[in-house]
Formats: sequence, C-alpha cells, structure tokens
Amino acid sequence: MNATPASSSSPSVQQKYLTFTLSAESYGIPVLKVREIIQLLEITPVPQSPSYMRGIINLRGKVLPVVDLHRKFGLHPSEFTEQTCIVIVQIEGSAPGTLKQMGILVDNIEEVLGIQASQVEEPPDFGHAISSENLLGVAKVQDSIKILLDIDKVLAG
Amino acid sequence: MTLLKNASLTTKLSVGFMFYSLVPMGILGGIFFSVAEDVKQLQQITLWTMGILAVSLLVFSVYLGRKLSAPLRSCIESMQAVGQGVASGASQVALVSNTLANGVNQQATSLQETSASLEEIASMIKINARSAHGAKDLTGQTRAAAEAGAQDMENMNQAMDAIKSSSDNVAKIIKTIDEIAFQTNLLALNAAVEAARAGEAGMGFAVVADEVRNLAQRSAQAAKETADKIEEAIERSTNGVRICVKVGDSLRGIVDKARQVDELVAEISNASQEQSQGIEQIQTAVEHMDQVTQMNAASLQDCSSAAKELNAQTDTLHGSVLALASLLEGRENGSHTGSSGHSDYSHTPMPSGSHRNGSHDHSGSNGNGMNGHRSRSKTPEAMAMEEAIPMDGDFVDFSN
Repeated sequence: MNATPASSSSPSVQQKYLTFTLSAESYGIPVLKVREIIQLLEITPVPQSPSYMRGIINLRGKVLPVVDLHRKFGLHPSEFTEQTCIVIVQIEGSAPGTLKQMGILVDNIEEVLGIQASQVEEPPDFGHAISSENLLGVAKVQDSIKILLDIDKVLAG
Repeated sequence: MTLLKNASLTTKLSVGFMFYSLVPMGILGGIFFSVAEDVKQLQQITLWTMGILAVSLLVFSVYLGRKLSAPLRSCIESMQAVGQGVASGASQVALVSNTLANGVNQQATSLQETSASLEEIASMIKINARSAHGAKDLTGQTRAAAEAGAQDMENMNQAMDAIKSSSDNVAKIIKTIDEIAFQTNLLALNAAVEAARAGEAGMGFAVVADEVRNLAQRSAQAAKETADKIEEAIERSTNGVRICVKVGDSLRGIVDKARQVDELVAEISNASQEQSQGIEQIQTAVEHMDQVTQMNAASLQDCSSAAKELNAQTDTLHGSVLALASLLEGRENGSHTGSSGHSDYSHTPMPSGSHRNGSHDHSGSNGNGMNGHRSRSKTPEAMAMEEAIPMDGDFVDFSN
C-alpha cells in the first residue's frame, strides 16, 4: 500500500475512491489515504505561507494545515458553502517512512465509490491545469469522468 | 186731433171769457141802452168779438209754434246724436268686453293647462327627489361596504404576513433537517472510509454505512424538496401580499369614488328638494293668477251688463226724443202739411237689445208707425250688438 497506482493490480479488482467536486469537476482520491471527513472549521491563516495554504485548524487538539486545492490547481476560487468540507488525508511525510495529516478543502463530498481497474485510463498529456504526473488516471463512471489524484504528489510540491 | 181739441177748448175758453167779460158789458149796455137794445144785436156783437178773439189766438199760437219749433228741433237732433253716440259707445264697450272675455277664457284655459303641467312636473320632481334619496342611501351603503372591505383587506394583509412568517419558520426547521442530513451523510462517509480501511472485515459495516448514507441522502432530498415547496409557498404568499396591497389600493379608490358619488347624489337630492319647493311656489302663483282671471271674468260680466244697461238707457232716451220729435212734427204737420222731411232719425240705427223695459208706451198714442221702423231696422251695428250681448229669453220682439 504505497504509491503504486491501483491500475497495476488485476482488472477485476476494484479500488475504492472517495470522490468530491472542485469547481464542478469531479475528483477522486484513494479511500485508504483518507483519515476523516469533517465539516468546515474555522481556519486560522498562517503568515508568510504559500497562497494555497489557507491556514491551520484545530481538530480535537491536533493542529493541521489546510490546503486550498482551488488555488493549488489554479482554478476559480469559490466561496465557502454549506457543502464545503475538509478531507483529512494521511500522506507521506518529508522524511521517508513518516506519515503526516493534512486537510484539503473540497466544494462537495460525493461518495465512496468502487472503481474497476478497467474503468481507469492513463491521464492525457495536455488540456488540463494539473500536470499529469500528479494524476493516477482518469476514471470513466457512467457518462462522467472522475480525475483520480495522486494526493501524495499533489501535496508534496 | 189734439189740434181740434185745442180749438174747441179755445172756443170754450173764448166763450167763457166772452161770457164773463160780456155779461158785465151787457149789463152796462143794458144800463146804457136800458133794455131797449135787441138781444140779436148783442149776439152779433158777441159773435164778432168771439171771431176776432179766435183768429187772434190762432195767429198767436201759430206764431208761438213757429218761434219754438226751431230750437226744439235742434235740441232734439243733438239729443238724438248724443243718444246714437252713447249707443255706439255702449256697443263698442260690449264688443271689447266680448273680446276681453275671449282672452280671459283663453287665459283661464292656458292657466289650467299650466297648472296641470306643473302638477305633473311637481310629481316628477318628487319622484326624482325620492330616487335621489334612495340613491344616497345606496351609495352610503356602498361606501360603508367598501370601507369594510378595505378594513378586511388590512386584516387579510396581516394574515398573509402571518402565513409568510410561519413559512419562514418552517423553512428554518427544514434547514435544520437539511443540516442534520448533511452531517449524517458525512458520518456515513466517514463510516464508509473506516469500513474500507478495515478491508474484508469491514465489508458488512460498509454496507450499513452505505444504507445510512442513502437514508441521509433521502433525508436531504426530502428536506430539499420540502424547502422548495416552502420556498414556493413563501413566494406565493408574498405574491398574495402584493395582490392584497393592490386590492387594498383599489378598495381605497372605490371608497373615494363612493364618497364622491355620495356627495354628488346628496347635491342632487338637495337640488330636487329646492326644485320641489320652487314648483310649489309656482303652483301657488298660478292659483293666484287663476283667481285673478276669474275675477277679471266676473268684472267683464259686470262690464257687459253695464253696457247692456247703458244701451237700454239710450233706448229710453231715444224713445223720449222720438216722442218729443213727433210732438213737434205733429204740430208742424198741422201747420205745414207735406213738410215731413225730418223723420230721418226714425231710420237711424237703434240698438234693439234693450227694448224689454217697455219704455215706448207713450209713442203708441201718436200712431206714426215708428215702432215698425225701429224694430225692423237692424243695422250692422245693431247686429254686432246682438252678437256681442246675447239676448235674454224674456226678450220682447216689437216687430209686429
């Protein structure tokens, strides 16, 4: 259970992803990366931090940084709504073998979705604001497309 | 005849006179001739004296008659003229009073028509006044109803506002339900995440989490639909409030108009009342005019009868004048036979309307045939007179 993409396993095996939306686009992250989904808390801005770093939250006594994926991806910044949530993810720390928790701001949580490996395709090289190296692939679910994010790489930069 | 009578009378008088004057003379003669005188001589003397006296008397009377006849005739002629003038004046008065009577009759008829029209107008005005009064009552009721409607509209506005606030409260509750559903959804998602982390062991739990999530989503959906409904209800109640405000404005307009109509109808009612009073005054005036006209008619009757009376008097005068004239004429006829050219006034038009007082008895003794002349000679003037003054039933015709 490291950075290996799910597509490497057998096609019949389904991976579970947590899907959410950002600016009407649908994204997915592997569910094992997710620690918790919480409602929007008060975010305290941190001075001299990157613009995508919205600030820090106090989650039951633990101080966690919160990243605004809108800003990270250069999308239109959207206002907070009642649907806005913070997904607490567990990613690899800066030192190898360590784990750290971070919050990511999403517009709306969709669901926990099982996606077959056969539904996943390689990310295209062009046409998107996100560089393809941050992607695990593109999943075709019914008529829509869900972009599967490699959240470790997204948050590493 | 009169003349003969007069002559015999004169003779008798002369004889008496002679007798009483000559007896003393005879006595004296007897004294002078001392009975020797013959009675025949005395008789001759007496006859002579008588003859002389008779002749002198005759001459004297003729002289006197001639002397008096001229002024008498002129007097009779002027009386005749005056009588004619008075008669024509009286007939004119009769004519005028007849015309006046016609006018007064027409006036009376017109006044009666006017009075009838006035009564009709008065009744119409009374009906008008009654209708105006009824209209006033009705407009008053309309106004009251419109005002009550406006008041009800206010109440309805308040009710609509209450509905709106209730809807708002329901919307708040729905929002709370929605939040709870959202949190339940999050909890279910978290449970699903945990189940996924548990791997094979968490499979059942994942199913439960999925069901819980489904429920939460259904709750959220129901809450959303309810919210939509509530939103719609709020929208409709807002619309209702808006319409209520408009209806209230319209009702206020109706109230204003009803007030104006009320005032106008009140004015009409007052005007009708005044008209009614005016018509009553006019009716009184017309009644007064009617009375005056009747008095005029009565006066005209008096005038007419006065004219008749005047005519009768004129007739009497004429009779008297005729008698006098015939007297004079008879004398002249006696002295100057064939000079009867002065009978022209017997042909003068005499009003025959007033012969009934029988004032012509004295003319019958002369027997001049004047009556026939007078009664037959109905000149146009007399005819007009008869037309003007209708003869009474007791009129005595003198034509025979």
